[in-house]
Amino acid sequence: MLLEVKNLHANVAGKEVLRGINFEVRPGEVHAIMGPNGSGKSTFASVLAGNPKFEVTEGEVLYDGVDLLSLPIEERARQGLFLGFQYPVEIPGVSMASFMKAAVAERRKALGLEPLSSAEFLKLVREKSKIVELDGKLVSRSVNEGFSGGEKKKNEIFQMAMLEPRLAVLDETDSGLDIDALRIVATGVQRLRSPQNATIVITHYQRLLDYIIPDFVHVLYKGQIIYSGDKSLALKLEREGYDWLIGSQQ
Amino acid sequence: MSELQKIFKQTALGERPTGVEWFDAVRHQAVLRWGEMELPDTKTEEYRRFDLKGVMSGVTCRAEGDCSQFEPLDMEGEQVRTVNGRVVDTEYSILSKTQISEFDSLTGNVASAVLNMALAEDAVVVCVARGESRKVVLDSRFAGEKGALAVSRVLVVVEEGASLELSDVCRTEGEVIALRCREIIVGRGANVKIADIVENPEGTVIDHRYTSQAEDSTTRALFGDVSHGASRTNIVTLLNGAHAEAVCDGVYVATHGTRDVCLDVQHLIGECQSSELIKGIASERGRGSFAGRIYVAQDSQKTDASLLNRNIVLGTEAKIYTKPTLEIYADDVKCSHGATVGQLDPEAVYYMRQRGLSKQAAERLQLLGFAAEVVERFGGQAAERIAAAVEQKLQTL
Repeated sequence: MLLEVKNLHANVAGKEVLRGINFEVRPGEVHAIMGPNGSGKSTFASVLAGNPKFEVTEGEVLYDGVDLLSLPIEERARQGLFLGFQYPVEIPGVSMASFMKAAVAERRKALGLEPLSSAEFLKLVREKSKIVELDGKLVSRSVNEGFSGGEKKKNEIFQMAMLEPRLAVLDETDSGLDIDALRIVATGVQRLRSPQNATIVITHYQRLLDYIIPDFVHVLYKGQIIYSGDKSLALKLEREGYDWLIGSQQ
Repeated sequence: MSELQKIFKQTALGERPTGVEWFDAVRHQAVLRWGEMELPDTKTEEYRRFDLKGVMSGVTCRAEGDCSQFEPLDMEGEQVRTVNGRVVDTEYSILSKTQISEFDSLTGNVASAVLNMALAEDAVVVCVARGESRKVVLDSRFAGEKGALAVSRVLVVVEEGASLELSDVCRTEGEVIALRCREIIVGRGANVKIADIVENPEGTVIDHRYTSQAEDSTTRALFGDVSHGASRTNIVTLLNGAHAEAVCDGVYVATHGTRDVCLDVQHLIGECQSSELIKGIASERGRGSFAGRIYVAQDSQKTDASLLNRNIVLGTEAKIYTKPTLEIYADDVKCSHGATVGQLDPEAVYYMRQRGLSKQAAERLQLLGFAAEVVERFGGQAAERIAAAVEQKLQTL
């Protein structure tokens, strides 16, 4: 098992947002998490990544058998947990290249690998930027600064490609993308799939799942997973909305 | 009588004449101007955090320290070395020149600059002749024990249509007090790039840089101060000719002591442009202070000027003071001023940690990024040296 979430509860500013999540991911799987606004989807992603804004009050998360919640943010990342941000952060003055070079070096160190030489790093950048058709010039610019919405999301997947995570959590990677950008980003994610790694896709729209075919679809509502199914669930939600599920909850 | 007064008397009374008559006469004039002048302290000076009077009252002797331990500068250009204000490369010494009318023409009645002139025993002179293009590296070395005073003076004259790239690296050894004054006179259509780098580990640096620009001239300046001791930087830019352009940026990292930056840009005629961006980082018990002014004289119409001071303060003990001001006596101008004081962006730190960087590495990268804007805007070998010095300094935070 790559990820085991047991009875996870979390608060933000004293308010309980996650209210007992149980969830399992095996290597090679793609899980989609859907649900109405405010149901706790992004919170779930943030808690896995270790965002200090959220306080875990109960429950357990095992990542590859290790207590994930006891690890600092950067250690989770070095062990292969990647969060694709819903709102990637702009960092003025910090070049993508120096940022990524440091990040790749940390990931490689955790894997027991030597750091890449400058030439090897540049080669990797060229190779990986093609996956999401990222303009090579963006790599020499400051992190996300002045990037369009589409470029920011492509940049998230580019970073994912550079870091080769074992578990990628993509938080609404499709929001704010036009049809072409969505296809490019989603195809990029699909190309990064392997039997060893797994992906959790958080989305509002079935459209993304046309490209990233999920093995499981879960519905999160009021901080709990209230229903799970296969890909057909996403299609049903697209057609019928959440009322039929939420109704049964109330 | 204080030790400073004794030193002053020795010089003033001609007990230490240089033997170069015209230069001694200029010094004597400064002595007369000094007259009843007094150095200001933080109470008498507006918005200053560096106690000039207090620091100078700690003077006990002239600095005579050995400067041979400094590594030669690995920078491209004509090297001009000074040791405690004395010019080692004597072809650049004022003592080898005949009278230069521009000398001591810009400092007016600023007490610390007048004192500098009265006490100076040598000066660097760099004259770039009409149409010439030169690259000069000033290697300014100061050494002395606590209370030792070194006085240095520089005159740069860039004639019509000439260009100069000037890098001034100030290094100190021991708790010496370096009282520096530089005048830079930029002729019509001339082009000057000035980089000031202060790398003193312990000393105190009181610096004055006066620049006067004629019409159609451009200057681009950057200072980088990563010193450990205290420093006071006075930068005055006088735009005297139409269509002159001045860019004056700076970055400092204060971990101990006070960085006091006083910037004054005077638009004395219309149709000139100026832009200043000063970035400060204060941490531990460091204190950063900025007082900047854009002055637009009567009827200097079509002035285009901007002044911005941005700061990051780390921890609970560091302090930042800032006061950008505009003083405008014309009605058709475009002027802006502003200041920000903030902390590291926690979202950016989180983002970088999520990619595997440690908290410390993420914070450092963000601070470097903060400084990078002014450094990149300047470019070249001096900017690289400043960037490296800032990076090295940030490693210690």
